[in-house]
Amino acid sequence: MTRPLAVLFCPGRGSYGRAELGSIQRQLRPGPVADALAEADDARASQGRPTITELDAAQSFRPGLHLDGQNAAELIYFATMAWLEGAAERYEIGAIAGNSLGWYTAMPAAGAMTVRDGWALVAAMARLQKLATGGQILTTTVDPATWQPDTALVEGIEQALAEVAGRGEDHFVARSIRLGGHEVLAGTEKGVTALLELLPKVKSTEREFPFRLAGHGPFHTELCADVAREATHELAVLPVREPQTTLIDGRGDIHTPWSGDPRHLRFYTTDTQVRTTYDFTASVWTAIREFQPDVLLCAAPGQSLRAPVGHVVLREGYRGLRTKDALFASDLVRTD
Amino acid sequence: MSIRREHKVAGRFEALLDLHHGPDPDRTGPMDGPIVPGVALTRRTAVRLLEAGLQSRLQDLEARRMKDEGRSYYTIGSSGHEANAVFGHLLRTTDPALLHYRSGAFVAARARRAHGETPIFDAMLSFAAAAEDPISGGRHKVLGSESLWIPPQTSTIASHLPKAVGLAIGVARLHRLGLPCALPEDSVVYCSFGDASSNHATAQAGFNAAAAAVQHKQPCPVIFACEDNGIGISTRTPDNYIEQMFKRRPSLDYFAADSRDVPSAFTQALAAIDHCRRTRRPVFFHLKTVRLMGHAGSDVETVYRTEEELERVEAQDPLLAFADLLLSTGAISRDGLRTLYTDMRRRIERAGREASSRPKIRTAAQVRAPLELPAADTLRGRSANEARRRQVFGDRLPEADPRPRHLAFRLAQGLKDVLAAYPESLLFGEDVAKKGGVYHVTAGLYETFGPARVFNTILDETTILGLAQGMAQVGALPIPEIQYLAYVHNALDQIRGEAASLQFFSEGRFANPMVVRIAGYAYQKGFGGHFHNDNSIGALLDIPGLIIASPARGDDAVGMLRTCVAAAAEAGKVCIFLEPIALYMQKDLHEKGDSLWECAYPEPGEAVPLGQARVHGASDDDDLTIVSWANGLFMSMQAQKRLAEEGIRARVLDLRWLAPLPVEAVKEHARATGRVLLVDECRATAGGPSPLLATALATDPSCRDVVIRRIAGDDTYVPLAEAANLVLIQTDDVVDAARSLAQEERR
Repeated sequence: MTRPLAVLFCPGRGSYGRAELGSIQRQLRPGPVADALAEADDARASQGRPTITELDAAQSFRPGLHLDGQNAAELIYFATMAWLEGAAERYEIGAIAGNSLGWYTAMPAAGAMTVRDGWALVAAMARLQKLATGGQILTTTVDPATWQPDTALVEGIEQALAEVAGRGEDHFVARSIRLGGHEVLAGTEKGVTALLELLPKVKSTEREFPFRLAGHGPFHTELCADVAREATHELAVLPVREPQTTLIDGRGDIHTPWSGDPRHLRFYTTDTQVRTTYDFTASVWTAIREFQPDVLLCAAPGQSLRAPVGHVVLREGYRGLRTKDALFASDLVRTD
Repeated sequence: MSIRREHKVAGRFEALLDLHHGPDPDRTGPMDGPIVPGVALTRRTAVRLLEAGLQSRLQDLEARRMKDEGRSYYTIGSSGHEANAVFGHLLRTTDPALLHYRSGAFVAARARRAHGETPIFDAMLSFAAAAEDPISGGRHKVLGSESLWIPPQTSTIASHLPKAVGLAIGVARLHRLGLPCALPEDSVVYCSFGDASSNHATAQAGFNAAAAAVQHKQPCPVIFACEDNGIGISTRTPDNYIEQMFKRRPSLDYFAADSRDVPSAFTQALAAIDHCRRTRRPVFFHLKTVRLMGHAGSDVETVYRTEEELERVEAQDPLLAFADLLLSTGAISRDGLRTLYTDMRRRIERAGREASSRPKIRTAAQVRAPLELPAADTLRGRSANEARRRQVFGDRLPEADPRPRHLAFRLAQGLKDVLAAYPESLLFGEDVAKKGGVYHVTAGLYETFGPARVFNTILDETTILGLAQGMAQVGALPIPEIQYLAYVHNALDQIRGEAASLQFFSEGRFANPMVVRIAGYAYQKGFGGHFHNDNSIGALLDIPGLIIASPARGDDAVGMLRTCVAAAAEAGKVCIFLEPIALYMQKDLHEKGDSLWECAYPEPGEAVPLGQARVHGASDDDDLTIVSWANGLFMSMQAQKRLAEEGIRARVLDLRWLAPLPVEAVKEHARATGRVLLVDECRATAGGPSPLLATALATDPSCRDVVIRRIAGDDTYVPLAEAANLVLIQTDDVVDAARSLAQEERR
């Protein structure tokens, strides 16, 4: 029986939470992921840091520990990679994209790097990101109940960004991630604090937008220019190779197994996407329109990409889906 | 013998996948090394070009399948022409590309140079005529993209070549003037067409205009890419025809390549682009291709080509040769190519299915939407500040001058005000510069605004209108002049098929705003004969979305010119400004010295609302309404006085606008007076607007009580001397017709 055609989306920071504890161990199989994890654990233990296996096996989720950048990044990476081995048996993966940190996962997931090198990339980037100070905010442009766009929210965000940016260099703010109907904004401490006050407030049943993303830096903005410079230098020999599955990057551009250029991929990974807006919306848009998948598969850990992917499906009207209810009934966006 | 060739063409490619011998060890090498020694094309880039070519080929095949299933409406394809992907890859995405319909691979390759493009689904939406088609909105299958700087072309008759020249010259001129330009200064314009199309008069006008630019020492960085497949529908192009016709053409720098040798084509394209960008000279690039699967899906090639010939042509398939090269040099493995082929085919088939399910245009209003004219009260217009106006007019501003002036004088002042208010406006045509135009309407403008903004062109109306279109697309506001109405007919398709249609075929994404001034109509006292007295504007009246202004008096002319310029600048509209030559210098209306045809200059900011008529001499108990415009207005107003002397009260309605035609105003006054006389100086059979007005009145129940009469010119060309008056309506005719009408009982 043919497997459904899927495009895979690898999640970024904030996807490994309480519910994901133990998920790596549950899904891990002998093979390259397990081998890379063992190597990662060894390296971390030798540095006196908690191993990924220990963090995953913890009885309770400790935000101070689990959400620390260097812990969270590797946890998420291995959680995705461990999950993926099973998913690849259930689906034919037509293309792979990621969100932010998920882009690093997408690279080895698509075969553009080994699992071990993917871990090295994730670990290095998590370490280097500490060079940038500031934060990230998550907010939304859609009605949480219906996922339909709300132009007042869009305008409110524009106004808030313009107003804060006008307060001077120490109030630098920018778009960090276009995340379907959500928007991730980032900036300096002062910028982010001011934005939180000015952005329109939106209540949903689960949470209230906007909110600060704990432990996150000003990713994908010019505030990460130093990170990009160091990463490009340090990872200059990162062994990137042609992907085996088409990659869709954070501009919506494709890198195919046949013509994908490892040098471009490396530069994009260590420089371009580090300091410019990550357009996850564009990658979903490309995935839908150019690959026409049966399933939009949001990789573990967590379910954080379900909503952003769903927002884009509704905006596009893909396969006639234009309402949240219809989308949920369709089973188009899946996490397993 | 098979009629359909799709399976043959696809079959050859699939056979290659099965039968290829694999890489030749002597020819393999690194992915980032040259695919053959001494060329700039690497294996990796070659694969990327192959991906674009395959996408284009498989789109063609899918379009035909969709057509068979009633899901697609267009089957002219790009098969055999895929090597144009080299230009798609090598040019910048800001180098405008005016493409003919076999450029699918160019678009696919260019899309990969930009970010976030979805070329497969976009193409399928276009094939399916879906309302979401991101260029035409389902109005036409065109190759186009706003983000990729591919303005859509009709391109079936090479009518896009003159505007390609206009784009090339426009970019240079706007930068030279320091004005905002949509494109970088070192852009080159790419313009493709077929071998058969190179024979079109418009194509020849394009080549000529580019070569003339070189002779006039003007930059003209345009690449004319002739994709020579050796046949135009069923008519064979002689061997070496394109080479013979263009290789030694002065001022066109000739490059040539064969699609079957893509590495060499890549090198040649690189050299041509570099040459064009560096020297700013026009290039003629001769790309030999083959045509596969007929002119279009409906074309049965076997009627005019033998099976043997078809087999021979298909064996020359450039995509096949290219794939063979990539396999032999190790750029792609057989398994890799098979996966690429099946993956691409699946993506396209799925995209075709999804695109077919998307909504189509549902209403006529949706179809027409891009043609909508701006509401009369939304145009703002622009005036230069007083200091600037004093700079161009001198200390005495025209509105402060109490002396009444004639039409040509006021027009010259109106144009001067426009050129002062809109720095991006450019005025050009034959003899408009130092001479100031045949009738002095542009007198003084060259001296005031300089040769970069007011300039003479070569003597070709197609070129003038092509220049206007191209310049407009990059940010200029062209005000071209066509010296006589008869001359516009020589170049009419540049308005009908090209300028006026751009907003329609791009759903408003591209525009070529302009105000085309045309001196026209008859009544030149017997001088000049037909070609200076042409009195038929029928060929303009039916053009959708066009604005046509035709003032008779100086004050109206200035106000209407302001409105036209605003409609162009603010809504991207194409406006025709028809000026009655015979009234240019007219001072008096009834008798010598009465100065009644002279006017004051309208205050800055005063404009004539779009589509608004003007009524002269209305009173409550009028016996009839005379409806006219231009020379007809002049005669009607002469008649009005004579009729009044006989006790017949006539109000005269000046249409002023022929599009939008003020039909409601005509009806209103017709109803008020119960009798209407349509005075049409044009030829009776659809030369002017009176047949349209007569129909509008006759078919409107609210006008059922109105008595409608019409006089118009004879259906003949206008002769010389006194004979001209035999076929043109005269003031006496108006008086007679009005008198007769006034005697008819109101219904």
